[in-house]
Amino acid sequence: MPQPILKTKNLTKIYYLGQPNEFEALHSINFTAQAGEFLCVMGPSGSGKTTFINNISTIDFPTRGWVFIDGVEIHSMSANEIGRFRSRTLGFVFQEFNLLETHTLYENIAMPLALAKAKKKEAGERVEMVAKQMGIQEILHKYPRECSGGQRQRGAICRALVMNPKIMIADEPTGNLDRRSASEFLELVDKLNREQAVTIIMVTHDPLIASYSSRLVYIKDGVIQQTVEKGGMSQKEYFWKITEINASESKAIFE
Amino acid sequence: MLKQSIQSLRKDLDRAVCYWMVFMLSSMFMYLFFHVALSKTIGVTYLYGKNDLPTFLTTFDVLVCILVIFLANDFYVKKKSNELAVILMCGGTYMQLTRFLIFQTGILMLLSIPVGVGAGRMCFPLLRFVFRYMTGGELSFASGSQPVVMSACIIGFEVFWCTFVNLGYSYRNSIYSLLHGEEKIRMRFPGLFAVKGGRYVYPALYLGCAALLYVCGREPRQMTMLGVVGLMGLCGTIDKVVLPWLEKEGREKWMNQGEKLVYMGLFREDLKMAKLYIILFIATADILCLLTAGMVEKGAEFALCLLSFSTMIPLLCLSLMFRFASESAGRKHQFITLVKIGYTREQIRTIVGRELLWLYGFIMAASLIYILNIAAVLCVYGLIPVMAGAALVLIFVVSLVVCGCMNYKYNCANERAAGV
Repeated sequence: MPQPILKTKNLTKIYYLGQPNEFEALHSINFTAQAGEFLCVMGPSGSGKTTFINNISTIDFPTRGWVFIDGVEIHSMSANEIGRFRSRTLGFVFQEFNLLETHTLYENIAMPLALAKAKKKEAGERVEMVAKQMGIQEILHKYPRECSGGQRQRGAICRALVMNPKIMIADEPTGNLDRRSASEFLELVDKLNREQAVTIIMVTHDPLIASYSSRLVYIKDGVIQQTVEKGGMSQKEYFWKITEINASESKAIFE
Repeated sequence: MLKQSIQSLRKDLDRAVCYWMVFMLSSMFMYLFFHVALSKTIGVTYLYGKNDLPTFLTTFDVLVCILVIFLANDFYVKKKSNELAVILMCGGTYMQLTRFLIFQTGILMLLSIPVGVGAGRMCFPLLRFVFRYMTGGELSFASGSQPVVMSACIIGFEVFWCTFVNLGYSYRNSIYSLLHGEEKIRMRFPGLFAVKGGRYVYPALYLGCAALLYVCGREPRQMTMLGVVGLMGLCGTIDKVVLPWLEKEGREKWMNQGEKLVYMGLFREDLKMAKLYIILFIATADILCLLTAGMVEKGAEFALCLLSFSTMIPLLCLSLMFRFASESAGRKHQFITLVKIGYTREQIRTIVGRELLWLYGFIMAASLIYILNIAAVLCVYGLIPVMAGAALVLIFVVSLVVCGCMNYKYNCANERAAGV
């Protein structure tokens, strides 16, 4: 049986521990993701999706429990090792794009390579290659403020992919995009997952976007309430299933 | 609205303190300056249209103070744009918006003037000591209420000026532009002409004029002209040579240096904003040094020139620090993004330090090429004593270094506050 690329064991996150406003955002979550999976995380606002994503991607650390990424427990690493590990294993794409406004797209994309001290020639080639893949090779000299939302998101994807990460973490990546840019983004992510076997873990509110995934993880009140495998379902059937799960909250109000 | 203004001041205490310091120092310097300028030995009265050196000097210093307050006000108000947008969205009128800003400015001003006057008063013995040490003579201060009245008039003018700026800001902006920070009070110095081969022409102008200072050293007015042309050369050098070079190097040479790629990119952006300050430093130093020339025999006028230099330059440095400290306050997201890319906290701290080192280093080098040479030329031609020349350069260097260190401390605190 292949080793999971990501695994959590009793993952618990408590904010303001020991203070009057102590709050447990995640309760003992056990979760496994296999290499090459395309996972979607859904749930109502405030359910703990972003906390979950942050904890499984070394941005934040669990209060209790363990997180194993590619067989490595994140607590066993020093701050420097985590930095290196993050830049080599994980790629991030966020709703706000999180590009450095002070740097050109080229420099933004090259940053993880510079951090890994890649050779200049190879780094240059790699940046050009991912930019070509994403169709932004013509605007690499531009600053993010000079680009459209779609172009900025492509820049952010290029930066996430330039190190050939094993896992791509995306938190509401289409939140700031128009419908056309969002569907282009999805096609790109889907292609990456199919052709390069990059594991995708994506938070979204949109059932249509979630219907591209191979598995849905539904989080509510800090626990995984439901998991749905696409399996043999068509995308349309899968989409309706996701819609039904999301609508169950609203339905309960009327019943 | 008054309560809201006080809350806003408390919420944004760091920036408010910086703004307060600018007000306080301006008040202090003006108070000190007028006590010397209006003393019996110098005798500026403004009553008989006497346009001699102290009059020019006073006007120039007041202009610098106003400019510094204007810049500080611009940064302060600009960072309030989200709060202004919220008030507008809640149905606030433009008059309410203006009151919201003016209350804050007014509170800061009222708090700063007494402190400034008190601090100025405390500097009298120090000033007397410095004057005695440099010229061997006694420095007299104006007696009576005239200096206080003059300072009050100027500070009143400042109030008018800031009110005018605040009013303009709130009237010119819609909710959308406030939220997106589209409207900014911009100052442009001086316009550049499209020059063929600008890559060579501008640095040649900048450095050539610095070299020509030695030829025209006997004639201070020619030196002022050279300073102006040199400033145009500097602007062109930054735009056509330094910035393109930084972009090219970023793409070609720093691709395998994670920290350098980031801090040089940040420095590049800082440089675009710092250009105005470099121009102000050089122009101020240029004019003040040249006014100082030939005044050594007139003890009190000479002291006034030195006083101008040693107050205006630190004030400009403080304004520069305020600008870049304000800028770093909004960098929380950048730090978080860097952490997500894989930068460690240690590396981010290095980035913060190196960026400031390059920034302040560049400002110092670019300004010193003129300040140092002007001081040297004046010393060579015997227009000022060597000690005075050294003092002029030292005042600039020490002020900039102190502000750079304060800026570094503040940026590090911001990095810690970002919780990365």
